[in-house]
Amino acid sequence: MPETNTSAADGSLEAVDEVDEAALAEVMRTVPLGAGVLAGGAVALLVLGYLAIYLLIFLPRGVVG
Amino acid sequence: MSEAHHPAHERRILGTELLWAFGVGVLVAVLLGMVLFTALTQNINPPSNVERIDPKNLHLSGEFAEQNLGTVVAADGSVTTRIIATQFMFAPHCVAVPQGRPVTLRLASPDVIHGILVTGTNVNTMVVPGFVAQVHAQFTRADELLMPCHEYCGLGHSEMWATVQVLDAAAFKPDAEGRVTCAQR
Amino acid sequence: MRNAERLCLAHFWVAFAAFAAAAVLGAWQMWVRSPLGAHIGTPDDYYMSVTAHGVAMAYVLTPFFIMGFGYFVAVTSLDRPLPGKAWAWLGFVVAVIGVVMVVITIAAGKGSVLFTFYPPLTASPWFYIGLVLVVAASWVWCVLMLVAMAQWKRHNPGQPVPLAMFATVANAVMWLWTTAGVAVELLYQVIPAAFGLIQTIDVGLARTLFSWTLHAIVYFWLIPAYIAFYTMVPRAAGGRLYSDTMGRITFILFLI
Repeated sequence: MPETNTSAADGSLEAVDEVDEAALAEVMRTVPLGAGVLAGGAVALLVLGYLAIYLLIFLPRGVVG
Repeated sequence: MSEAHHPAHERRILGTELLWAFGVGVLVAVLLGMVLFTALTQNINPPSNVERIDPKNLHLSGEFAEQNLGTVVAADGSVTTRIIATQFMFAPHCVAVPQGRPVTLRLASPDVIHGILVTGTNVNTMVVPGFVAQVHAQFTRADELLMPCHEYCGLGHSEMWATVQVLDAAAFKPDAEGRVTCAQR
Repeated sequence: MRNAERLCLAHFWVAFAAFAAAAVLGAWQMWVRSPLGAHIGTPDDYYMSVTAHGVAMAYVLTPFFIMGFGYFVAVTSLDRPLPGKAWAWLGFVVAVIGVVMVVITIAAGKGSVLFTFYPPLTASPWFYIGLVLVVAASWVWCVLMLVAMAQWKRHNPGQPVPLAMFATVANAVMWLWTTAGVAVELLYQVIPAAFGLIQTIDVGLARTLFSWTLHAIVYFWLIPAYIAFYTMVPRAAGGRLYSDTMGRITFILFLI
Protein backbone atom coordinates (compact mmCIF):
# COMPACT_ATOMS: atom_id res chain seq x y z
CA MET A 1 0.00 0.00 0.00
CA PRO A 2 1.69 3.27 -1.12
CA GLU A 3 2.28 5.49 1.88
CA THR A 4 1.73 8.72 -0.07
CA ASN A 5 -2.01 8.10 -0.58
CA THR A 6 -4.23 10.06 1.70
CA SER A 7 -7.18 8.39 3.34
CA ALA A 8 -10.51 9.98 4.06
CA ALA A 9 -9.82 9.48 7.73
CA ASP A 10 -6.77 11.77 7.52
CA GLY A 11 -8.61 14.98 6.88
CA SER A 12 -10.05 17.28 9.48
CA LEU A 13 -13.48 15.97 10.37
CA GLU A 14 -15.31 19.26 10.04
CA ALA A 15 -14.13 19.85 6.51
CA VAL A 16 -14.89 16.36 5.28
CA ASP A 17 -18.64 16.49 5.72
CA GLU A 18 -20.36 19.82 5.48
CA VAL A 19 -23.94 19.91 6.64
CA ASP A 20 -26.39 22.07 4.76
CA GLU A 21 -27.93 23.83 7.73
CA ALA A 22 -31.03 25.09 5.97
CA ALA A 23 -31.91 21.72 4.51
CA LEU A 24 -31.21 20.08 7.86
CA ALA A 25 -33.45 22.56 9.67
CA GLU A 26 -36.25 21.75 7.24
CA VAL A 27 -35.80 18.01 7.80
CA MET A 28 -35.62 18.40 11.56
CA ARG A 29 -39.13 19.93 11.58
CA THR A 30 -40.82 16.77 10.35
CA VAL A 31 -38.51 13.86 11.14
CA PRO A 32 -38.87 13.84 14.94
CA LEU A 33 -42.57 13.03 14.61
CA GLY A 34 -41.79 10.04 12.42
CA ALA A 35 -39.01 8.93 14.74
CA GLY A 36 -41.36 9.22 17.69
CA VAL A 37 -44.00 7.13 15.97
CA LEU A 38 -41.45 4.46 15.05
CA ALA A 39 -39.83 4.35 18.47
CA GLY A 40 -43.15 4.51 20.26
CA GLY A 41 -44.56 1.74 18.09
CA ALA A 42 -41.53 -0.47 18.68
CA VAL A 43 -41.69 0.02 22.45
CA ALA A 44 -45.45 -0.58 22.44
CA LEU A 45 -45.01 -3.88 20.59
CA LEU A 46 -42.30 -4.87 23.03
CA VAL A 47 -44.46 -4.10 26.06
CA LEU A 48 -47.45 -5.91 24.58
CA GLY A 49 -45.27 -8.93 23.86
CA TYR A 50 -43.92 -8.89 27.41
CA LEU A 51 -47.41 -8.63 28.94
CA ALA A 52 -48.77 -11.34 26.66
CA ILE A 53 -46.08 -13.82 27.69
CA TYR A 54 -46.39 -12.84 31.36
CA LEU A 55 -50.18 -13.19 31.51
CA LEU A 56 -50.71 -16.07 29.09
CA ILE A 57 -47.67 -18.26 29.77
CA PHE A 58 -45.87 -17.36 33.00
CA LEU A 59 -48.83 -16.98 35.36
CA PRO A 60 -50.70 -20.07 34.09
CA ARG A 61 -47.60 -22.17 34.76
CA GLY A 62 -48.08 -21.78 38.46
CA VAL A 63 -46.94 -19.58 41.29
CA VAL A 64 -43.30 -19.94 42.20
CA GLY A 65 -41.29 -18.19 44.88
CA MET B 1 -19.24 20.06 15.79
CA SER B 2 -21.20 23.29 15.75
CA GLU B 3 -24.58 23.43 17.36
CA ALA B 4 -26.19 25.87 15.00
CA HIS B 5 -29.78 25.36 16.19
CA HIS B 6 -31.32 28.63 17.22
CA PRO B 7 -33.00 28.91 20.65
CA ALA B 8 -36.55 28.00 19.54
CA HIS B 9 -35.24 24.83 17.95
CA GLU B 10 -33.29 23.92 21.09
CA ARG B 11 -36.37 24.35 23.24
CA ARG B 12 -38.48 22.18 20.98
CA ILE B 13 -35.82 19.50 20.86
CA LEU B 14 -35.51 19.53 24.63
CA GLY B 15 -39.27 19.41 24.96
CA THR B 16 -39.55 16.38 22.70
CA GLU B 17 -36.75 14.58 24.48
CA LEU B 18 -38.26 15.27 27.91
CA LEU B 19 -41.66 14.05 26.76
CA TRP B 20 -40.14 10.79 25.56
CA ALA B 21 -38.07 10.44 28.75
CA PHE B 22 -41.22 10.98 30.80
CA GLY B 23 -43.06 8.28 28.84
CA VAL B 24 -40.21 5.81 29.33
CA GLY B 25 -40.03 6.70 33.02
CA VAL B 26 -43.74 5.93 33.44
CA LEU B 27 -43.26 2.60 31.66
CA VAL B 28 -40.35 1.63 33.91
CA ALA B 29 -42.31 2.60 37.02
CA VAL B 30 -45.31 0.52 35.92
CA LEU B 31 -43.21 -2.57 35.20
CA LEU B 32 -41.34 -2.28 38.49
CA GLY B 33 -44.64 -1.80 40.26
CA MET B 34 -46.01 -4.98 38.71
CA VAL B 35 -42.98 -6.95 39.86
CA LEU B 36 -43.25 -5.54 43.40
CA PHE B 37 -46.99 -6.12 43.56
CA THR B 38 -46.86 -9.76 42.53
CA ALA B 39 -43.94 -10.36 44.87
CA LEU B 40 -45.76 -8.89 47.86
CA THR B 41 -49.27 -10.16 47.26
CA GLN B 42 -48.82 -13.48 45.49
CA ASN B 43 -45.37 -14.38 46.71
CA ILE B 44 -43.94 -14.63 43.21
CA ASN B 45 -40.17 -14.25 43.55
CA PRO B 46 -37.07 -15.70 41.99
CA PRO B 47 -35.82 -18.42 44.33
CA SER B 48 -33.46 -16.56 46.67
CA ASN B 49 -33.00 -18.85 49.63
CA VAL B 50 -29.66 -18.32 51.37
CA GLU B 51 -29.08 -21.29 53.59
CA ARG B 52 -25.70 -22.91 54.08
CA ILE B 53 -25.03 -26.62 54.40
CA ASP B 54 -21.82 -28.65 54.45
CA PRO B 55 -21.53 -30.32 51.02
CA LYS B 56 -19.05 -32.92 52.22
CA ASN B 57 -21.45 -34.41 54.74
CA LEU B 58 -24.78 -34.28 52.97
CA HIS B 59 -25.49 -37.96 53.37
CA LEU B 60 -24.81 -37.66 57.08
CA SER B 61 -26.88 -34.52 57.65
CA GLY B 62 -30.30 -35.18 59.06
CA GLU B 63 -32.19 -33.54 56.30
CA PHE B 64 -30.59 -34.95 53.15
CA ALA B 65 -29.85 -38.43 54.41
CA GLU B 66 -30.95 -41.01 51.88
CA GLN B 67 -34.10 -42.07 53.68
CA ASN B 68 -35.38 -38.49 53.71
CA LEU B 69 -35.06 -37.89 49.98
CA GLY B 70 -38.15 -37.64 47.80
CA THR B 71 -41.56 -36.30 48.69
CA VAL B 72 -42.81 -36.29 52.28
CA VAL B 73 -46.16 -35.00 53.56
CA ALA B 74 -45.84 -33.61 57.07
CA ALA B 75 -48.42 -33.90 59.81
CA ASP B 76 -49.72 -30.40 59.04
CA GLY B 77 -50.27 -31.32 55.38
CA SER B 78 -47.31 -29.41 53.99
CA VAL B 79 -45.49 -31.16 51.16
CA THR B 80 -41.68 -31.09 50.95
CA THR B 81 -39.59 -32.72 48.24
CA ARG B 82 -35.88 -33.18 48.87
CA ILE B 83 -33.47 -33.99 46.06
CA ILE B 84 -29.72 -34.36 45.85
CA ALA B 85 -28.04 -33.24 42.63
CA THR B 86 -24.68 -34.84 42.01
CA GLN B 87 -22.38 -35.70 39.10
CA PHE B 88 -24.29 -36.97 37.06
CA MET B 89 -27.66 -37.92 38.49
CA PHE B 90 -30.49 -36.74 40.69
CA ALA B 91 -31.40 -38.75 43.77
CA PRO B 92 -34.17 -39.82 43.63
CA HIS B 93 -34.46 -40.11 39.86
CA CYS B 94 -38.23 -39.67 40.02
CA VAL B 95 -40.31 -37.63 42.45
CA ALA B 96 -44.06 -37.35 42.87
CA VAL B 97 -45.73 -34.06 43.69
CA PRO B 98 -49.41 -33.21 44.20
CA GLN B 99 -51.43 -31.19 41.74
CA GLY B 100 -52.68 -27.80 42.89
CA ARG B 101 -51.12 -27.86 46.35
CA PRO B 102 -48.13 -25.81 47.60
CA VAL B 103 -44.91 -27.82 47.38
CA THR B 104 -41.53 -26.90 48.80
CA LEU B 105 -38.60 -28.23 46.77
CA ARG B 106 -35.26 -28.39 48.58
CA LEU B 107 -32.10 -29.36 46.75
CA ALA B 108 -28.46 -29.73 47.71
CA SER B 109 -25.26 -30.70 45.90
CA PRO B 110 -22.22 -32.48 47.35
CA ASP B 111 -19.91 -31.62 44.46
CA VAL B 112 -20.31 -28.92 41.81
CA ILE B 113 -22.89 -26.42 40.63
CA HIS B 114 -26.00 -27.98 39.13
CA GLY B 115 -29.34 -26.46 38.24
CA ILE B 116 -32.86 -27.56 37.59
CA LEU B 117 -35.86 -26.52 35.67
CA VAL B 118 -39.14 -28.41 35.48
CA THR B 119 -40.54 -28.25 31.95
CA GLY B 120 -43.88 -26.51 31.62
CA THR B 121 -43.56 -24.85 35.02
CA ASN B 122 -41.78 -21.86 36.48
CA VAL B 123 -39.56 -23.96 38.68
CA ASN B 124 -36.01 -22.93 37.86
CA THR B 125 -33.04 -22.61 40.19
CA MET B 126 -29.33 -23.22 40.54
CA VAL B 127 -28.10 -25.74 43.06
CA VAL B 128 -24.85 -24.43 44.50
CA PRO B 129 -22.64 -26.69 46.65
CA GLY B 130 -22.58 -25.32 50.18
CA PHE B 131 -26.13 -23.98 49.96
CA VAL B 132 -29.67 -25.38 50.02
CA ALA B 133 -31.78 -24.33 47.04
CA GLN B 134 -35.44 -23.89 47.91
CA VAL B 135 -38.39 -23.24 45.63
CA HIS B 136 -42.03 -22.90 46.68
CA ALA B 137 -44.20 -23.98 43.79
CA GLN B 138 -47.66 -25.08 42.79
CA PHE B 139 -48.06 -27.50 39.90
CA THR B 140 -51.20 -26.68 37.97
CA ARG B 141 -51.53 -29.70 35.64
CA ALA B 142 -51.32 -33.42 36.34
CA ASP B 143 -48.59 -34.66 34.03
CA GLU B 144 -45.20 -36.34 33.83
CA LEU B 145 -42.60 -33.60 33.55
CA LEU B 146 -38.92 -33.59 32.71
CA MET B 147 -36.40 -32.05 35.10
CA PRO B 148 -33.03 -31.69 33.38
CA CYS B 149 -29.86 -30.33 34.94
CA HIS B 150 -29.40 -26.93 33.32
CA GLU B 151 -26.08 -25.69 34.65
CA TYR B 152 -22.89 -27.19 33.26
CA CYS B 153 -21.54 -29.66 35.78
CA GLY B 154 -18.97 -31.60 33.76
CA LEU B 155 -18.83 -34.02 30.88
CA GLY B 156 -21.94 -35.98 31.86
CA HIS B 157 -24.12 -32.90 32.12
CA SER B 158 -26.27 -33.53 29.06
CA GLU B 159 -27.33 -36.95 30.36
CA MET B 160 -28.37 -35.69 33.79
CA TRP B 161 -32.13 -35.48 34.29
CA ALA B 162 -34.97 -36.58 36.53
CA THR B 163 -38.72 -37.03 36.24
CA VAL B 164 -41.42 -35.13 38.14
CA GLN B 165 -44.79 -36.84 38.31
CA VAL B 166 -47.60 -34.40 39.11
CA LEU B 167 -50.32 -36.59 40.59
CA ASP B 168 -53.92 -35.57 41.09
CA ALA B 169 -55.54 -35.91 44.51
CA ALA B 170 -56.70 -39.46 43.83
CA ALA B 171 -53.25 -40.73 42.91
CA PHE B 172 -51.22 -38.75 45.48
CA LYS B 173 -51.42 -41.12 48.46
CA PRO B 174 -48.79 -40.86 51.24
CA ASP B 175 -47.76 -44.10 52.95
CA ALA B 176 -47.68 -44.58 56.71
CA GLU B 177 -44.61 -42.36 57.09
CA GLY B 178 -45.97 -39.61 54.84
CA ARG B 179 -43.79 -40.56 51.87
CA VAL B 180 -45.02 -40.50 48.29
CA THR B 181 -43.10 -42.24 45.55
CA CYS B 182 -43.56 -42.22 41.82
CA ALA B 183 -46.40 -44.24 40.39
CA GLN B 184 -45.09 -47.20 38.42
CA ARG B 185 -46.05 -47.06 34.78
CA MET C 1 -5.49 8.52 11.78
CA ARG C 2 -2.39 7.07 10.17
CA ASN C 3 -0.96 7.35 13.66
CA ALA C 4 -3.12 4.58 15.08
CA GLU C 5 -4.15 2.77 11.92
CA ARG C 6 -1.99 -0.30 12.37
CA LEU C 7 -2.91 -0.51 16.04
CA CYS C 8 -6.62 -0.54 15.28
CA LEU C 9 -6.25 -2.99 12.43
CA ALA C 10 -4.16 -5.35 14.55
CA HIS C 11 -6.93 -5.46 17.14
CA PHE C 12 -9.62 -6.01 14.52
CA TRP C 13 -7.69 -8.82 12.85
CA VAL C 14 -7.43 -10.75 16.13
CA ALA C 15 -11.06 -10.03 16.93
CA PHE C 16 -12.43 -11.28 13.64
CA ALA C 17 -10.11 -14.28 13.49
CA ALA C 18 -11.54 -15.33 16.85
CA PHE C 19 -15.05 -14.68 15.55
CA ALA C 20 -14.45 -16.86 12.50
CA ALA C 21 -13.12 -19.71 14.63
CA ALA C 22 -16.04 -19.39 17.04
CA ALA C 23 -18.56 -19.43 14.18
CA VAL C 24 -17.10 -22.65 12.80
CA LEU C 25 -17.13 -24.23 16.26
CA GLY C 26 -20.72 -23.15 16.76
CA ALA C 27 -21.80 -24.74 13.51
CA TRP C 28 -19.96 -27.96 14.43
CA GLN C 29 -21.69 -28.00 17.82
CA MET C 30 -25.12 -27.75 16.21
CA TRP C 31 -24.28 -30.48 13.72
CA VAL C 32 -22.91 -32.89 16.28
CA ARG C 33 -25.94 -32.45 18.54
CA SER C 34 -28.34 -33.11 15.71
CA PRO C 35 -29.26 -36.58 14.39
CA LEU C 36 -26.91 -35.93 11.47
CA GLY C 37 -23.75 -35.89 13.52
CA ALA C 38 -24.75 -37.75 16.64
CA HIS C 39 -22.43 -40.66 15.93
CA ILE C 40 -19.39 -38.41 15.99
CA GLY C 41 -18.13 -36.33 18.85
CA THR C 42 -17.71 -37.20 22.46
CA PRO C 43 -18.71 -35.09 25.45
CA ASP C 44 -15.02 -34.18 25.75
CA ASP C 45 -14.97 -32.74 22.24
CA TYR C 46 -18.32 -31.06 22.63
CA TYR C 47 -17.61 -29.22 25.86
CA MET C 48 -14.12 -28.32 24.69
CA SER C 49 -15.75 -26.71 21.68
CA VAL C 50 -18.41 -24.96 23.76
CA THR C 51 -15.67 -23.53 25.97
CA ALA C 52 -13.58 -22.38 23.02
CA HIS C 53 -16.63 -20.88 21.31
CA GLY C 54 -17.72 -19.02 24.43
CA VAL C 55 -14.28 -17.76 25.35
CA ALA C 56 -13.58 -16.62 21.78
CA MET C 57 -16.86 -14.71 21.59
CA ALA C 58 -16.93 -13.24 25.09
CA TYR C 59 -13.27 -12.70 25.90
CA VAL C 60 -11.46 -12.30 22.56
CA LEU C 61 -13.75 -10.94 19.83
CA THR C 62 -15.31 -8.38 22.10
CA PRO C 63 -12.39 -6.85 24.05
CA PHE C 64 -10.13 -6.77 20.99
CA PHE C 65 -12.75 -5.16 18.80
CA ILE C 66 -13.75 -2.65 21.45
CA MET C 67 -10.15 -1.68 22.11
CA GLY C 68 -9.49 -1.15 18.42
CA PHE C 69 -12.74 0.78 18.10
CA GLY C 70 -11.78 2.92 21.10
CA TYR C 71 -8.39 3.80 19.64
CA PHE C 72 -10.13 4.74 16.39
CA VAL C 73 -12.62 6.98 18.19
CA ALA C 74 -9.89 8.59 20.30
CA VAL C 75 -7.86 9.57 17.25
CA THR C 76 -10.68 10.63 14.93
CA SER C 77 -13.15 12.33 17.26
CA LEU C 78 -10.46 14.20 19.20
CA ASP C 79 -8.42 14.87 16.06
CA ARG C 80 -5.16 14.25 17.91
CA PRO C 81 -2.56 11.47 17.88
CA LEU C 82 -3.08 8.73 20.42
CA PRO C 83 -1.11 9.28 23.64
CA GLY C 84 0.93 6.38 24.98
CA LYS C 85 0.94 4.39 21.74
CA ALA C 86 3.81 2.24 23.03
CA TRP C 87 1.64 1.27 26.00
CA ALA C 88 -1.19 0.44 23.63
CA TRP C 89 1.02 -1.90 21.64
CA LEU C 90 2.35 -3.46 24.85
CA GLY C 91 -1.20 -4.09 25.96
CA PHE C 92 -1.98 -5.68 22.61
CA VAL C 93 1.00 -8.03 22.85
CA VAL C 94 0.15 -9.04 26.42
CA ALA C 95 -3.44 -9.71 25.39
CA VAL C 96 -2.34 -11.87 22.47
CA ILE C 97 -0.05 -13.86 24.76
CA GLY C 98 -3.05 -14.37 27.05
CA VAL C 99 -5.15 -15.60 24.12
CA VAL C 100 -2.42 -18.06 23.10
CA MET C 101 -2.28 -19.46 26.63
CA VAL C 102 -6.04 -19.87 26.68
CA VAL C 103 -6.14 -21.58 23.28
CA ILE C 104 -3.40 -24.03 24.20
CA THR C 105 -4.99 -25.03 27.51
CA ILE C 106 -8.41 -25.49 25.93
CA ALA C 107 -7.01 -27.52 23.03
CA ALA C 108 -5.15 -29.72 25.50
CA GLY C 109 -8.46 -30.58 27.11
CA LYS C 110 -7.53 -28.79 30.32
CA GLY C 111 -9.99 -25.93 30.09
CA SER C 112 -13.48 -27.32 29.56
CA VAL C 113 -15.18 -25.11 32.11
CA LEU C 114 -17.18 -22.92 29.70
CA PHE C 115 -16.83 -19.18 29.72
CA THR C 116 -18.37 -18.67 33.17
CA PHE C 117 -15.85 -21.08 34.72
CA TYR C 118 -18.34 -22.89 37.00
CA PRO C 119 -16.15 -23.26 40.07
CA PRO C 120 -15.49 -25.70 41.74
CA LEU C 121 -14.92 -27.22 38.31
CA THR C 122 -11.25 -26.44 37.80
CA ALA C 123 -9.25 -25.89 34.64
CA SER C 124 -5.52 -25.57 34.27
CA PRO C 125 -4.35 -22.45 36.15
CA TRP C 126 -2.77 -21.20 32.91
CA PHE C 127 -6.22 -20.99 31.34
CA TYR C 128 -7.30 -18.49 33.95
CA ILE C 129 -3.96 -16.66 33.92
CA GLY C 130 -4.26 -16.21 30.16
CA LEU C 131 -7.64 -14.56 30.65
CA VAL C 132 -6.26 -12.37 33.44
CA LEU C 133 -3.65 -11.12 30.94
CA VAL C 134 -6.38 -10.18 28.47
CA VAL C 135 -8.27 -8.27 31.16
CA ALA C 136 -5.11 -6.53 32.38
CA ALA C 137 -4.35 -5.42 28.83
CA SER C 138 -7.85 -4.01 28.54
CA TRP C 139 -7.16 -1.95 31.66
CA VAL C 140 -4.24 -0.36 29.82
CA TRP C 141 -6.73 0.60 27.10
CA CYS C 142 -9.05 2.13 29.72
CA VAL C 143 -6.28 4.30 31.11
CA LEU C 144 -5.26 5.45 27.63
CA MET C 145 -8.85 6.44 26.86
CA LEU C 146 -8.95 8.53 30.04
CA VAL C 147 -5.57 10.10 29.27
CA ALA C 148 -6.60 10.94 25.70
CA MET C 149 -9.73 12.67 26.92
CA ALA C 150 -7.87 14.52 29.69
CA GLN C 151 -5.28 15.81 27.24
CA TRP C 152 -7.97 17.04 24.83
CA LYS C 153 -9.79 18.85 27.64
CA ARG C 154 -6.57 20.60 28.65
CA HIS C 155 -6.16 21.83 25.08
CA ASN C 156 -9.82 22.76 24.70
CA PRO C 157 -10.86 24.34 27.99
CA GLY C 158 -14.57 24.87 28.45
CA GLN C 159 -15.58 22.78 25.44
CA PRO C 160 -17.76 19.65 25.73
CA VAL C 161 -15.88 16.51 24.84
CA PRO C 162 -16.95 15.12 21.45
CA LEU C 163 -19.80 12.71 22.13
CA ALA C 164 -18.10 9.65 20.67
CA MET C 165 -15.14 10.05 23.02
CA PHE C 166 -17.39 10.94 25.96
CA ALA C 167 -19.23 7.67 25.46
CA THR C 168 -16.05 5.66 24.93
CA VAL C 169 -14.62 6.94 28.20
CA ALA C 170 -17.91 6.15 29.96
CA ASN C 171 -17.58 2.63 28.61
CA ALA C 172 -13.95 2.42 29.75
CA VAL C 173 -14.83 3.58 33.27
CA MET C 174 -17.66 1.06 33.41
CA TRP C 175 -15.27 -1.68 32.27
CA LEU C 176 -12.76 -0.83 35.00
CA TRP C 177 -15.55 -1.12 37.55
CA THR C 178 -17.13 -4.28 36.23
CA THR C 179 -13.95 -6.33 35.69
CA ALA C 180 -13.14 -5.99 39.38
CA GLY C 181 -15.55 -8.83 40.12
CA VAL C 182 -14.03 -11.48 37.87
CA ALA C 183 -10.51 -10.29 38.73
CA VAL C 184 -11.12 -10.84 42.45
CA GLU C 185 -12.80 -14.19 41.78
CA LEU C 186 -9.90 -15.44 39.66
CA LEU C 187 -7.00 -14.03 41.65
CA TYR C 188 -8.35 -14.69 45.12
CA GLN C 189 -10.30 -17.94 44.64
CA VAL C 190 -10.09 -19.79 41.34
CA ILE C 191 -6.36 -19.56 40.47
CA PRO C 192 -5.20 -20.48 43.98
CA ALA C 193 -7.58 -23.45 43.88
CA ALA C 194 -6.32 -24.43 40.42
CA PHE C 195 -2.75 -24.43 41.74
CA GLY C 196 -3.86 -26.48 44.73
CA LEU C 197 -3.00 -23.74 47.23
CA ILE C 198 -6.48 -23.77 48.73
CA GLN C 199 -8.73 -26.80 49.13
CA THR C 200 -12.20 -25.26 49.20
CA ILE C 201 -13.98 -22.44 47.42
CA ASP C 202 -17.03 -20.54 48.62
CA VAL C 203 -19.00 -21.13 45.43
CA GLY C 204 -21.73 -18.66 46.33
CA LEU C 205 -19.10 -15.94 46.67
CA ALA C 206 -17.40 -16.96 43.43
CA ARG C 207 -20.63 -16.82 41.42
CA THR C 208 -21.58 -13.50 43.02
CA LEU C 209 -18.22 -11.98 42.12
CA PHE C 210 -18.55 -13.30 38.60
CA SER C 211 -22.04 -11.91 38.19
CA TRP C 212 -20.65 -8.48 39.17
CA THR C 213 -18.77 -8.69 35.89
CA LEU C 214 -21.26 -10.67 33.86
CA HIS C 215 -24.12 -8.19 34.21
CA ALA C 216 -22.36 -5.10 32.94
CA ILE C 217 -20.10 -6.89 30.45
CA VAL C 218 -23.00 -6.94 28.03
CA TYR C 219 -23.14 -3.14 28.16
CA PHE C 220 -19.42 -3.02 27.52
CA TRP C 221 -20.21 -4.92 24.32
CA LEU C 222 -23.30 -2.87 23.48
CA ILE C 223 -22.06 0.69 23.98
CA PRO C 224 -19.77 0.77 20.90
CA ALA C 225 -22.86 0.02 18.80
CA TYR C 226 -24.62 2.90 20.51
CA ILE C 227 -21.62 5.10 19.79
CA ALA C 228 -21.82 4.16 16.14
CA PHE C 229 -25.53 4.91 15.98
CA TYR C 230 -25.29 8.16 17.90
CA THR C 231 -22.26 9.64 16.17
CA MET C 232 -21.30 7.83 12.98
CA VAL C 233 -24.68 7.02 11.47
CA PRO C 234 -26.11 10.58 11.74
CA ARG C 235 -23.01 11.93 10.00
CA ALA C 236 -23.26 9.27 7.32
CA ALA C 237 -26.91 10.18 6.80
CA GLY C 238 -25.90 13.79 6.23
CA GLY C 239 -27.16 15.21 9.50
CA ARG C 240 -26.35 15.18 13.16
CA LEU C 241 -27.64 13.62 16.33
CA TYR C 242 -31.02 15.08 17.32
CA SER C 243 -30.05 15.90 20.87
CA ASP C 244 -26.45 15.87 21.99
CA THR C 245 -27.50 16.41 25.59
CA MET C 246 -29.74 13.38 25.63
CA GLY C 247 -26.92 11.36 24.14
CA ARG C 248 -24.63 12.29 27.02
CA ILE C 249 -27.35 11.57 29.58
CA THR C 250 -27.80 8.13 28.05
CA PHE C 251 -24.20 7.16 28.64
CA ILE C 252 -24.22 8.54 32.15
CA LEU C 253 -27.33 6.46 32.84
CA PHE C 254 -25.50 3.40 31.55
CA LEU C 255 -22.76 4.07 34.09
CA ILE C 256 -25.20 4.52 36.94
